[in-house]
Amino acid sequence: MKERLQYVFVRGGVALFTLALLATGIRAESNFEKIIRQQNAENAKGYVQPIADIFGANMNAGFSRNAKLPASGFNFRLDIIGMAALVGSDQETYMATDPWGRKFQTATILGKKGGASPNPIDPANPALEYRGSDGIINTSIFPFAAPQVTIGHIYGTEAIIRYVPIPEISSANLPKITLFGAGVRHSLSQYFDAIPLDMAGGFMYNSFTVGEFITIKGWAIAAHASKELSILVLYGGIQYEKSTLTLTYKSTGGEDVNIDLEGSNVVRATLGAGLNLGILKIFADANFGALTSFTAGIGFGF
Amino acid sequence: MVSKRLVNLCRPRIETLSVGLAAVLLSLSTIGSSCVNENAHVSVNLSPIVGRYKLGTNPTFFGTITVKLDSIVARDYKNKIRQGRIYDLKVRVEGEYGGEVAGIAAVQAGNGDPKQILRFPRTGSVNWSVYRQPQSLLGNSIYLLPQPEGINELLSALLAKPLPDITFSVVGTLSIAPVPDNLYVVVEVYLQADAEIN
Repeated sequence: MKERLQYVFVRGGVALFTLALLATGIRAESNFEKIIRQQNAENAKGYVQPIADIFGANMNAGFSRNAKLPASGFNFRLDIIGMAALVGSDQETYMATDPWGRKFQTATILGKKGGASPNPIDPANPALEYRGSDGIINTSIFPFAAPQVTIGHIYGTEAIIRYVPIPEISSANLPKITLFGAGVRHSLSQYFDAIPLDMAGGFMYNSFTVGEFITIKGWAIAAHASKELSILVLYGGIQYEKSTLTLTYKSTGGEDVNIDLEGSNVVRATLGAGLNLGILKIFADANFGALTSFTAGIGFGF
Repeated sequence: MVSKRLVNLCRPRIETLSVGLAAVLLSLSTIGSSCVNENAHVSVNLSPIVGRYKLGTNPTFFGTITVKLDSIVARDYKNKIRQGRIYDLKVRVEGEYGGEVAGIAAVQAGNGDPKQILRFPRTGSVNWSVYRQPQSLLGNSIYLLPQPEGINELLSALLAKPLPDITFSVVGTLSIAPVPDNLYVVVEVYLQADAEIN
């Protein structure tokens, strides 16, 4: 832990915020990996599916805080964005399969105690059960964070970049972690003078890699609208998105397992508000889709 | 002009909103540090123990194998096993034989006494060919009867430090002599253990 903190401070504020929010995921990663390796592909899918849903929803969040894009001129902004998805009780269990093919309910990674498949020959005997592993993360809200740089504008268009490279730190048991995102937004309201709202459309791609074990990729197409009322900005949007979590590992049974899990969030509606306080921007929004998630952030720029 | 009035009207609310947003950010940054489940266990599937016993020419048979329990527990989980389970026991035979068979499998931890872990079949004897298809506890086979003494012996051994050597043995009878060559009885033990992961 000491080495981890030292490293975080050396890397500076962006990494600090990101790592602080990712601490759960990183601490749990080695445990996560241990548990996953005990499972065949089918059970690993059920165990990990909530992570695919949540990371997908979080990663595709925070795309927009304002649809007002200048037609031209140099603008730069750095945002530190925190995302958090709510964990539902339905994400705490799944139906696993025992070695004989019978279904039993057990904990996902976000669940509590693992469930058991009783042995049919002596169902009351716990010494003959087949059990699923316990959940390793107990939380009702799952956070994520990303630094985001926005640079514009040419013809009402801006570019968005997210990037956090963290090399492997073996002394702190941290695998190499890379967050990368890139997107573009274009002003739509410049074509429609009569509309009293600012409007923009955009596309964003994100990827998040933890070691060679887990990769999450996602993309989103969104339409954004906003209204500035002096320093207050009200904004919202509709977004179509996809995300895929890929797990690659060798199970203890010797099986090479490669799993793709689709995130459950496909369409989201966003409602939010922000404050433009000179170079300081603060914003927060709620996202409604298959998962409910929240985004809050602080930005510096002009 | 209208917007200035609106700002003046909204200013207290805006200040409240600012504080609220900052609070959200702060609380987000602290989430995660305390939400890893304490005492979480991983269910570890241990390497199966397979005893393949060659039968002799007599209608009675006996065979043993010795297994170092240490060798079936992965290094990550040594000294972290908190509970064990036997989720399956399987019996199958190899070779052609027209008579019946009956047997008992036993387990012996270290220098302790052998304890019965399984009878096959439950009572009496059954045709050898019944076991040409593997019979399994998980498959709810009517030709197997688990024995609590041996099960407890093996599960207790899993918790011992250091892990002891285990002797598995099979003893049984065949109904018809002469007994052909190359007959085998195979007993498989499938273990699962709860290991600490934190």
